[in-house]
Amino acid sequence: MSDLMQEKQFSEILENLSDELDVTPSQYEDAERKYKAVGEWLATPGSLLADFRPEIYPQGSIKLGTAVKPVEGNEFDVDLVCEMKALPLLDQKTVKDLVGVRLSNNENYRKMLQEKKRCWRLDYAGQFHMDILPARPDLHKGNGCVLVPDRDLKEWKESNPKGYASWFEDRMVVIRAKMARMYAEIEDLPDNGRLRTPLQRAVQILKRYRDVVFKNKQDNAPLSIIITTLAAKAYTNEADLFIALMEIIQGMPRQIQYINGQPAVLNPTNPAENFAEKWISNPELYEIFRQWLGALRRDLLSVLPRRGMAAITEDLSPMFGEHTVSKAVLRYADNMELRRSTGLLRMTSGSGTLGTMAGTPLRKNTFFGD
Amino acid sequence: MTVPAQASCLKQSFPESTIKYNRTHNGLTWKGRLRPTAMSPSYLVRILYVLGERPNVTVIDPPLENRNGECIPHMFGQKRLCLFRYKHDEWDSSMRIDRTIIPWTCLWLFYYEIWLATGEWRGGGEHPEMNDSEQKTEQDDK
Repeated sequence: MSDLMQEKQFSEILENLSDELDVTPSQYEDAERKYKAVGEWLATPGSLLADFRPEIYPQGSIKLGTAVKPVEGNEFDVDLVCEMKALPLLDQKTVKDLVGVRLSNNENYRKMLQEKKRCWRLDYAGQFHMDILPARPDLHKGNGCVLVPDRDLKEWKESNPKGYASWFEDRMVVIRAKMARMYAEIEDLPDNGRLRTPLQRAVQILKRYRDVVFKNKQDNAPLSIIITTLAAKAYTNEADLFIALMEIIQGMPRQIQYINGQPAVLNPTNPAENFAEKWISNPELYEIFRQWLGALRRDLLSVLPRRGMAAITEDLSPMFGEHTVSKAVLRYADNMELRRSTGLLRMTSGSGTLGTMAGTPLRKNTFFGD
Repeated sequence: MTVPAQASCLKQSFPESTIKYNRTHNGLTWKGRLRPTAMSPSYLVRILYVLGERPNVTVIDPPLENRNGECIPHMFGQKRLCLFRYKHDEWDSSMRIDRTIIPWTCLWLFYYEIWLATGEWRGGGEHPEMNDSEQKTEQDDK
C-alpha cells in the first residue's frame, strides 16, 4: 500500500471536513436574498439614503468562499459593504448614523439591529449576522477602491474588497480551468454547480484549526485576512487537498515580508496596508503564529499513519472539533454509499481495497442481522 | 459451483491467502487479509464454506470492537458478519465467493469502521424480527 493512496484517502476525508465547515448552498442563497433586500431598503427611492446611491455587496470570507461555521452555534458572519456612490462630504460618524437610522426605520430590521464600532449588525438569530460597513468610493484610486471609517470613526481608511476578491480568484485560475475540464469529462458536477478549489478548502481548514486552538485565547488568534493572504500566495494550483495543505503550510512563512526588520503581511492590492500591524506592537503574536502553523503541520502528518476510521476520528476531533469531525466522517461514508448505490464501486483483488477505478464491481447486497 | 472451483477463484483473486479443504464436509476454509481502504488496518478474515450453506465470515484480527458497550450492527450473535439476504436472491452457491462474499466483507468492514468512529451504521440493511432466535434468523432468511 503506497503512501500516495493514504494521502489520497486523507484528502477525501479533509474535503468532507471542509464541506462540513462550509456555508451550505441554501444558507448562502438565503443570505444573498436577505442582503439584497437590505440593499433595496437602503436604496428605496425617496428615502433618506436614496440620493447617496447606496449599493450593497459582500466582502471577506463569504465573497471568497472561505467562510467557516463557528465552533459553537450556527451563526456565521456575512460581511457587507454599503458603498454610497454619491456621498457628500460628511464625517464618518454621520455617515454611519445615517445608515443606522435608515435601517431602524424598518420594523423588522430594527428588532435585529445592533450597533458596532464602525458598522451595523443585523442579527438573524440562529442563522447568520450581517455586518454592514458604510463606505464611499475612493475617487483618487478608482478601480473599486473605497474609503471606510476607522474603528474610532475619526478617519477614512483605504479599502479594496472587490480588488482583494479578484486577486484571490486570480490565484485559482489554473486550478479552476483544470477542475472544469475534469468535471466536464466525468459529467459529475456537484449539485450546486459550485466547484470549490483546494485553496478555498485549505483556508477553511486553517481557520477552523485556528478557531479550535485559540478558543479560550482569541486575542492571540491569527487574523483570517493574514491566513487567507499567506495561503493564497503560497498556493501553487495543486489539485490534491492534502498535498496542497502541506505545501501551503510550509510556504506561508516564506510569504511573510520584512519591513524595517519587522515581519509584515502586506495587502496584495494595497502595499501601504500591513494586515499584521499587531505584530509590530506585540512581536509575540508573530511567534505564536509560527508555532501554530508548525503545530498544524505536525498534527496533520501524525494522522497519516493512523489506521482505522476510529483512530483517525480520535486524532482529528481535538484539531477541528468532535461534532464537526463526526459529521464529516458521515459525509465521507455517504459518498461511499452513493458510489455503491450507483454501481460505481469496485474492489481491488489481492488487497480488498474499495474504490471506483478498477477491480470487481460490487453486486447488490443487503446487510442483515441484529 | 464446486468447492475446488471456488478455491481456485479465491486463490487467483487473493494469491497471498490460504485455503484448506474440508473433504468430509465438501467445504473449505479461506484465510486472507483485507484492507477496505488505504487508511484501514489489514484485517485477517476467515471464511468457512460448506457447499449448500451460508458462507460463515469472521474477522480474526484485529478483534472487532464494541462501541461504548453497544453491539456491532449486522452480525449473527456478534460473531459472524451478515452480508446478504437469501430472501432477495442476492447469493447462491453458483456465485463466486471472491466476487461476492469478499467484496461485501470489505464493504461491511468499511461501514463497521464508520460505525465505530461515529455510532452510525451508514451501509443500510435489514433487521430480523425481534423475537426470532439467531438460528431461526439464519434459516428463515431462506
